[in-house]
Amino acid sequence: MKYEIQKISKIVEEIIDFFYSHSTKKVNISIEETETSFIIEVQSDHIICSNDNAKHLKDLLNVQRQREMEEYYWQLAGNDLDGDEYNLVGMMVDESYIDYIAPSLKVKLIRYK
Amino acid sequence: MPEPERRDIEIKIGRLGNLEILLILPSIMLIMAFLLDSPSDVLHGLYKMIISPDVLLTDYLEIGGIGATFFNASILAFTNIFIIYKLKLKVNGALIAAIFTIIGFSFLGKNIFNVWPMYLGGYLYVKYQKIEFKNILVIIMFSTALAPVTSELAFGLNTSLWISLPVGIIFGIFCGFIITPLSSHMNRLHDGYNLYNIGFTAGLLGTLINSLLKSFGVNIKQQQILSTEYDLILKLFLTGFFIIIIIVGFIINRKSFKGYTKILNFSGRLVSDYTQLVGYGLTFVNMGIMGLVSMFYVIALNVTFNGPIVGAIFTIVGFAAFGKHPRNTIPIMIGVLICGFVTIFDTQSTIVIMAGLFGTTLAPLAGKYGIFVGLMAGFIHLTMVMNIGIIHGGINLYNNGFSGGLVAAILFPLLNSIKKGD
Repeated sequence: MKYEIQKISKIVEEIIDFFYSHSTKKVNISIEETETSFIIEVQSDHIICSNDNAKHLKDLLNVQRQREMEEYYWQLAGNDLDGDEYNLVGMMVDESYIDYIAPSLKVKLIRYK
Repeated sequence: MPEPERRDIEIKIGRLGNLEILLILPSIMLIMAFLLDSPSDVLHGLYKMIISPDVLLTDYLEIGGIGATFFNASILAFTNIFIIYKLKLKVNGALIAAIFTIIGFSFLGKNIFNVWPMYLGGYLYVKYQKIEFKNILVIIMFSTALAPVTSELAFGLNTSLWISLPVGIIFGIFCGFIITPLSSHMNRLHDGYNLYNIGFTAGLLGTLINSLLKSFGVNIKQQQILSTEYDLILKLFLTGFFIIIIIVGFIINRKSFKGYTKILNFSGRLVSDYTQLVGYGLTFVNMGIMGLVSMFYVIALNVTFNGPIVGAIFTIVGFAAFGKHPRNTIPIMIGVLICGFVTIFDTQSTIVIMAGLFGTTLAPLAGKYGIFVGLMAGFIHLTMVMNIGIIHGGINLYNNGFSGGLVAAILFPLLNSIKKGD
């Protein structure tokens, strides 16, 4: 698919932005390409984040994939987001899983090809 | 315990339920079309609208009458809602904004003839790129801003229809083909602070087309055809619809306005889809409130309602699902007004009122940087929009989106550079 790698990069950039805006010092990133999908995992063992913020992120990421939105707006991902606009990432992925047990946060995103 | 999201609390109406809500407005307009005018008047008016050049500023209420205008708007809305239904798309903020923008501009330039070449161009693009049409539907719906290209070339060239009609249609298809990659890229120039991004894209594309045409001796003349006779009926129609949509939202939100203030905290920057952020109920409430706020703005200035003003109001209502709310739009409107008072522009002219309403394309700037920046953005927007139409000759219907894109592209980096902190 066209711009697939660039879109994956934008998604990762966006999630890293969330981690760094919550005072993390170290982030582990894994991106795996399978035959059918891209699996993105971002994890930190030290993040200062309230349960509300973690739930809010989960809600924003857990929206249905919307290819029509992705086609139009994907280039905006990763740019100066305020927090409530993480839903653009949600529109670009098919599945999202958030595990938060303070101070550890793991975000797993699956994007089908 | 954190408060549950409103979208989890509200009554679930599903995709079809949301489509049915979108059908309310075109249904009302279709009925009103035949209550206000006879079928023959409607058809005759529609014909006159189709063969008019449609460049800014063409009020279809004056060209074809109220029956034909309502009929035209309802048919375009029904068709686009049907496309959304057939493509099984979830009704989101962007699609609501696109539907209402199409309805709005069906009062001043989009008609049942001139929009389809854009769709055909989009269809050829997806075939070329081997992607699905639904991926680009939002872009194509908005891209009908360039519909006057087809009309102007088909009916404004003063040559045989056998030549001008295919030329107009081919140019329309060409615009539909190239606008998808262009519009996606243009988002980066203003970083999502201009809500009418296609207006910006279409402005640049319109400038190119206008320059090409001028080079071959074809001069597009801008015009100003405005109606004055439908003021009261338009006010009643709009007020009635906005109250209905607020009631619908109130019911979906379990007969409550609880949670509405949350919407006021969003900057509105692209992509702020309120259907996902606060739920459908509060989104519909916000749409109705923004409609009433916009009407109040026009009435307070003692200006007669006409097609372009109705078009601007419906566009605001649509984008009240996708970025706009009272807190980030009112400063822009006032900024435009202040500029109108201290400069040479007539604050009661339709074009300045339109700038005040459509200027809310810059709402994210007010939403993020505050009231003062909102006032400044509105002020600058009016000076820009009053001088920019001539570049594209009026073939870009979203002239304010073009201006808004330039204003945002200038202001955003400046504001970001002087902002304190990270």
